[in-house]
Amino acid sequence: MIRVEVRFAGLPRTETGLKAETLELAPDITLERLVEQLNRSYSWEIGRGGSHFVLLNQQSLRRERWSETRLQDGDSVLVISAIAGG
Amino acid sequence: MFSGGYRGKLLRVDLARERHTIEPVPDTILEQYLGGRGVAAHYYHEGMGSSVDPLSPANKLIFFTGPLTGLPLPATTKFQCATRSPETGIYLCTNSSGEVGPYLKRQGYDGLIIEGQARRDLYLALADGQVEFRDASDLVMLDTPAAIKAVRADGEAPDAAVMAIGPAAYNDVRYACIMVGDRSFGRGGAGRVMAAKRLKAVAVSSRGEIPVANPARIKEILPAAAKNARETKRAHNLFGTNQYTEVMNELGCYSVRNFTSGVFEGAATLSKDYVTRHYKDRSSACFRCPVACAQVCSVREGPLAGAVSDPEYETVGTLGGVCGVSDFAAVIAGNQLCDEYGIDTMTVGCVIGYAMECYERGLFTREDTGGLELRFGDAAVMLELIRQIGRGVGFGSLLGKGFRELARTHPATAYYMMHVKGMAFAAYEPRGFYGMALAYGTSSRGACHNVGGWTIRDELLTGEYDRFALEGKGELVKRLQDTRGYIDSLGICTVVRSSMGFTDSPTGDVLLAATGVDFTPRLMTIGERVIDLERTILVREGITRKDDYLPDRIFTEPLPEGPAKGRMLTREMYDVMLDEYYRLRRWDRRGVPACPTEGADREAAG
Ligand code: SF4
Repeated sequence: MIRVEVRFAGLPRTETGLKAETLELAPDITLERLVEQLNRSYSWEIGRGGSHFVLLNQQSLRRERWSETRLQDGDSVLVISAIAGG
Repeated sequence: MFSGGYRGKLLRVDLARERHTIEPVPDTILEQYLGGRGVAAHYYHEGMGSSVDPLSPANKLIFFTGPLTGLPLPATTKFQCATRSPETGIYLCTNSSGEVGPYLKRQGYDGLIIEGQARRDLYLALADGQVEFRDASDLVMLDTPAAIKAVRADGEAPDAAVMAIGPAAYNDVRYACIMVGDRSFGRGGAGRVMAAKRLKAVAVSSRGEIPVANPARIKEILPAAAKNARETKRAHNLFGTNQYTEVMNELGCYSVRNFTSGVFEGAATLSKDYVTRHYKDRSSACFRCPVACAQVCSVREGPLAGAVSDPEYETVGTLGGVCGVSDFAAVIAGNQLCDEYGIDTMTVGCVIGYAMECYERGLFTREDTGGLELRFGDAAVMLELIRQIGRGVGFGSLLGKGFRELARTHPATAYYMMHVKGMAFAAYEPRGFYGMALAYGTSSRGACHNVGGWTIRDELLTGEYDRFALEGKGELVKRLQDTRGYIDSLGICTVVRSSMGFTDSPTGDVLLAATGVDFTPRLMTIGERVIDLERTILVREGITRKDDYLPDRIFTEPLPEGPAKGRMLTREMYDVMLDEYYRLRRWDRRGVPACPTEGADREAAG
């Protein structure tokens, strides 16, 4: 198993009531699968035009790369809500 | 040519003679520059010499609405002001929400140009075709809420929209703002210019209609656009822009202790959930806005009980983060003081943060500060300095001069002044988003996150950019600036713009329905033209490439902690972005455009 920290900021923090949680995941899990898991757990629509986004280790990845991106032990995933306008 | 949206006239006021004239606004100018920011820049370019002293009668206050200002569409609240800034010494464009812009259009004017200096303290009252110069000698030192109330009572016009300046403007605060009801022309010191003109306020009657080209189509567009804005900006309604505080802190890009760090250990008590639980009273909306992003907050207990204001992200990030203050009650109280005195909250936070750092480093002493101990995190000192600045007394009278003047009088402290071209930073750490560094550097008015191009979304969420990469940032910043250039010329709030198709690939028929002319395919070219014109003005005022750099701290000190630890920009790295930006703008290596209407020529050519 690998341990991945999932952090929340913006609306996701309000909706989960959490700043962060650590998940134990299968070693070959992709970012795509983790996002599906989060979408199921919290009724989100990340990656499907919803208002929440994920960053892997502080960087955004193009949607088409999620399925080929395997998570590593110690990775950090940040879930944030859309930001618009300064 | 236009069958709606515009009124085709501007009101020119000569304060010295207490006279006014009404002039046509040529269709060709509106076609080229759209309205608002673009047309105001045009009149500035035409009407102001290169060496005008910002506080002299020769300076002008050029207010312009856009074709959508005041129309029955979402958030048609915006109008623009161009003037020469006493904070930066150069061209300033600044915008405000509120009712004054919409009502000016109802009164029959697209723009209001104020010239000269009055021989007595007065305020202007516009109602039903009349322009009155009314005595304001009893109002001068009233704070802004009291002045607005008094002007309404004096004119027996309880529903008039009023913009007014506060005591700070008369006490030579170079970043004094103009309060427009409870909104403001915040940045750059337009309020100080108004005080130099001895103009306390402008009141505009609410009566009148604005024609539109196709009222039936506007009626159709409104509900769908309002619904879209409400749904897509739900977080803005719930939390306002302060929703970004925890996000920026999480990314290590928050504005902390005069930009010495990107992570603030006190961010939790400034963040949206804490603020909503402990301080929020309600959301409030600007004119015709379905989003209502302003968060009206009050302090319910403790020494600051009774303070009420609506701090936005930038205010929280400057009065809070930059000053190291984690007490949100103090941010509410500081914001309220700024509104009452009429002070830009962002600049004042940055100036106080600078003073705190200089004091901690021994560059200012108790003798300089009149006995005040300036330490990061001391909320009482932050509030006391705002009071001193607003009143023009003590150490505050020095801080009220702003960075450009402080750099002249206190050159040994210049390293700690976080500004570009004299305008203080916004609340984003540029070492955490390299695009933001370029935005601060190349913005038409100094370090500004809006006019400069707000890169955060693209750098963070699209997957197209690495926020620590240089490549592509010139293109990104140019595109965002051009977009903002036309948005600021329309007369709507940027938060709702996409609900009407106003993106960097504009769509829809809103402008056709409003004006009878389909501007939509040309909007990005117009935005580009506005930026070219503004740069031409700046070059005329002495701005060159050397002024497009950030303070040395950004180029020499890596961020010390957090997710962006170790990140910094060297001048060489910054040059890569700046060169790309100039090349795409077809400016030469000194940052000089070929000609102000180059955008127009390019459009005609192809
Ligand atoms: S979104 Fe906010 S700032 Fe914009 S018009 Fe609405 S209330 Fe005003």
